[in-house]
Amino acid sequence: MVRLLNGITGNNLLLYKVILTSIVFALAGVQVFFAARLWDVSSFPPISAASAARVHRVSGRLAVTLGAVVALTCLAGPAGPLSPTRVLLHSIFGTAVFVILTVKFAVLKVLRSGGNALPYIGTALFLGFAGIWATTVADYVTSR
Amino acid sequence: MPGLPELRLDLASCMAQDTEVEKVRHPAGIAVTALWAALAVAAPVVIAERQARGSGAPPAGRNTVVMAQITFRPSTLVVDKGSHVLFVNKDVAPHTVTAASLGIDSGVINPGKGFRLVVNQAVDYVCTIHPSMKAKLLLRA
Repeated sequence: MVRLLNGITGNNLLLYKVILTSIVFALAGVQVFFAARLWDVSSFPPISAASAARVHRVSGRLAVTLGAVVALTCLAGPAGPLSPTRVLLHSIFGTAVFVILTVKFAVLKVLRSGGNALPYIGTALFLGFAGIWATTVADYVTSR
Repeated sequence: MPGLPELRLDLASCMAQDTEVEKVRHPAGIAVTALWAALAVAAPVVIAERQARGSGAPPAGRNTVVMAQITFRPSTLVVDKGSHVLFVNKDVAPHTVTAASLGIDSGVINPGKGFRLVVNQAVDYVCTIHPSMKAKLLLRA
């Protein structure tokens, strides 16, 4: 699969993953702002809570879809090593994001209760994406 | 705070709409939750399985570069001009041997596979999948 994707991307699979990961991280930041508006914690962005909820839902779906694409290429490809420390941390953050997403979707779609925990789950999710970004994109940029 | 009651009504109305939508999408919601749960389990399983398969990388032999633990070993290899260098992937992840400026590209070398290169000049090379992996081949004077 990695060979196929490397071919499709003109041997630039890592660059594409870096770009997608950065987009997902940016969307995770957007999610925080719109969630804060949705929960009436902030008046920014200056739109109605209902509109903030819609944007939050759409950008969230886009973020998790793109994130899933990157995650699957990681699992099919380079996943496995636990050293150096950066790689170990990346594996921990990646797995943690899967677990947090499972909890979030269980709360939202299966249990349909415990909504008060969503801000904490969302914060943890943002920090997880931040950890993933920091342990991959930052390394990619600094090693160039 | 002016306008707050209106905003709360707005939020309540939005959540009410969500509730209607959720009722229709419930099976899909369960499927998506199950997908994330599967990935949460798959990630550590994949890592553990590859760790078990790829542990114990042997030391590099003469004119051999071993890829292990996200490094090229040795990081500098001195060889005679025209000699063959064998790159062996003993890691649990795929790697490449790439020196773009010299037109050298092994393509993806999967775990357990190798790549042979005839060395006619000094080569600084990297793995394009793990760009922190850098090493060089030098010609014996």
